[in-house]
Amino acid sequence: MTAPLARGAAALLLTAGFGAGLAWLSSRPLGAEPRHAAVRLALRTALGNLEVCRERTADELAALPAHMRQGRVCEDRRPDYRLELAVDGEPVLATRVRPPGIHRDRPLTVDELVPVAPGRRRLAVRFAPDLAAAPAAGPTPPAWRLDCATGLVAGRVLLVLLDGAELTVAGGACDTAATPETGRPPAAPSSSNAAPPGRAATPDARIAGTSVMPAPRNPLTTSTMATAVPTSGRW
Amino acid sequence: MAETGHAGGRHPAAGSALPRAATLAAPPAHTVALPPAAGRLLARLGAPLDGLAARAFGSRWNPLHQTGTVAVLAFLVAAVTGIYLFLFYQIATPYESVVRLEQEVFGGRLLRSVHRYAADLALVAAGLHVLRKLAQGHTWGPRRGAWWSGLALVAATLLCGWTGLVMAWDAQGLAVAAAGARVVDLFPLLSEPIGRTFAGAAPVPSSFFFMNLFLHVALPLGLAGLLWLHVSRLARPALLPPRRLLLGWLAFLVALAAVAPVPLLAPADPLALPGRLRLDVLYAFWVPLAAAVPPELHLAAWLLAFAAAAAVPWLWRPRRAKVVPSAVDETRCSGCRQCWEDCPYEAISMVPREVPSKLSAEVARVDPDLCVGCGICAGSCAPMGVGPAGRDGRSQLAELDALLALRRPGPREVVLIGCRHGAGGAPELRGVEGVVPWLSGCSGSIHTSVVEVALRRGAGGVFLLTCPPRNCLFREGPKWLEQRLWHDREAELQARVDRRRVASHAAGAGETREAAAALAAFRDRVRALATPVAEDSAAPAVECEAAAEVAS
Repeated sequence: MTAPLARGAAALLLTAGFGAGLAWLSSRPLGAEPRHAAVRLALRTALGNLEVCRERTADELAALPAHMRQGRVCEDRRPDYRLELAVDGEPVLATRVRPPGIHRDRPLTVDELVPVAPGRRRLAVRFAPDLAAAPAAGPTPPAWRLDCATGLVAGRVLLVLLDGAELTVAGGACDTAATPETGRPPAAPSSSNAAPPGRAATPDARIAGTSVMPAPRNPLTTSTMATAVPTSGRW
Repeated sequence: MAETGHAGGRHPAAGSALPRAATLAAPPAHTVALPPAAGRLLARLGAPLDGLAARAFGSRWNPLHQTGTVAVLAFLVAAVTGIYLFLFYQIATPYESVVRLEQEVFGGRLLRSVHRYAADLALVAAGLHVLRKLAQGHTWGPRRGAWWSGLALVAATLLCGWTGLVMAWDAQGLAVAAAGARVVDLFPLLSEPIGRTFAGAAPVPSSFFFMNLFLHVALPLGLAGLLWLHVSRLARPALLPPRRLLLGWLAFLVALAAVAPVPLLAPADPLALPGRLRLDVLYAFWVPLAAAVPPELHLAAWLLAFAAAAAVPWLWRPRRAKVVPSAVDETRCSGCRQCWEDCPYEAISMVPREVPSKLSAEVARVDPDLCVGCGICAGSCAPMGVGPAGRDGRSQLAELDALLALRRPGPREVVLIGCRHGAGGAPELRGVEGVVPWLSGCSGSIHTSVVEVALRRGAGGVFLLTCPPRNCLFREGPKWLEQRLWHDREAELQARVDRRRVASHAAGAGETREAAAALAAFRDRVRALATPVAEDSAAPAVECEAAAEVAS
């Protein structure tokens, strides 16, 4: 009688131990509470296509079938962009963003999470085409910059967002008024084919100045958003 | 193609002028799909745990011998509870629907916990199953297909678990989704990277949760298909544990869910850094690591792990390993179909004879690509016409005779026939007085004539030590031996054999002491019986014709 009892008790004990182990593994606290804040750069733009056109020569036209003799041919190209983030004047991120796709014509996307020490910080984000590698013809693609001061909280993310034409901030207020450089038009492109100073490179790049608008309807965020300006050309 | 000996599965002596003694050649090294040295080391390391479980639950109910069936059971529990949970899940408000499920739906919280623990149990059982297969060396030769399908099953289980964690869309779900998206975005599969979906700029679209839900439902269907593939080469695959164990596991899951319900974490907040999270480390163990390394490195680690696992059939095998499959001596095959029925791997088929014979119209044929060389067919063939070279019935008799010629057992002694793959070679058994030990192959391969001949040679009794039925290296050895000894299964122990002088005992790795005690008790019982008479001169019966032939 004792042996079956002892065996039953041992089985129960082993089962309980296995159960405790399974429950522990199923919801085990991992990681540490972050002591830093972060700036997330979530950028996407379909702007900036460079349409490079040329006229076909008479020989080229003659070589084509009659129904394909289009005199002007154009190609869409998108230049590489450079993304830079500086915190309190110190550069913390500088990267080149290449357009995806076989023909390098897909929208540019960036998703970078940059850890930053919490506290009152001055951010400078610059996202501009690398015209040195761009074709020498066509309009100038847009560039964006944001300079603002914000309070970063440990464990929280300040989201810098570009979706469409505007560079915006979510997850915290960013005081653009304290950044006199914001909205400054870029320097004129050096390329002879670039748009002249003051002229918008694309129709979407007409917005100027700064404004504050309500946050989008997102139950997960409670921030206000500050918009910065898209500017054209090199900066 | 598997490494095999004789192609075609026909006996080398069949239809040829080869002497019959050719079948008695000593078996070459590694003629059975056995574990490599690392596997044997793994088995030794796991033996204490196996012994502990065997002592607590008994060999028959040892959960470590049921890892595959427990994984299937856990998968089924997760599927059934998942159907109920699915009724209340809403892709438009995933987190809120889970909160509602926990707070308002009858049994919602309990069933969600059962669902999660069942998924965890499936992964743990699958992991133990993998370790067990590595220890047993079930990784190479004809078994490599099962290894790869098992690997695919583990991968699909992981994917299914990840989508399940994401479904709740709490902090853990977001962490898994964001870490996974970083890896997925390395592939140019989607027109735009999905990582930005979780940036917090806008609510995550319902289409994402729809796709996630679709995967979570579709993957189990794929799992069922993979499971079929995994066991397709087995005859009579055991998919569920015995009823008592099955009910025990169900009770365990419900009790665990009631005592320690799975927590629902805070809702996903993309604008918060993950921090300290309560993670399901069985599925999400990689999430903290993924945040610390570049996604390329993370992906490389996964690919390396899976490549290493896929290469196991080549890496985890004995050196110069070669399976010698069974072969059929068509001059002896009576076409009874017993070997075809008993083969655990469906490696034997019945085909029409090429050369007509009075014996039968059909003859057994072994598929060397499926045969693992277990020799179970040797034990199932009354006329001793099938088996791996050197381990068929005739070879067993010859080996026994050679042993008994060196050490003739007395009437007060017992011949111990112990499976060399199990507890047969345990040191505890060697020390039992009055025992003549003989290490055999799988107990299912022992021909019952061996038992009879041992008694005829003067032994007081024969004690057959087998592995626990659910822990047989070749699946069904102990089961068939029991049937042949005690239940008149074809190739049965003849009725004329005194059953009081025969005993069989199953013992796992941790039960050798009990086995030694059972052996000593049997020896004492045998000593209390009247002294038997050696029958060397007795006329052999039909079933022992082969024995006499070998002895002469």
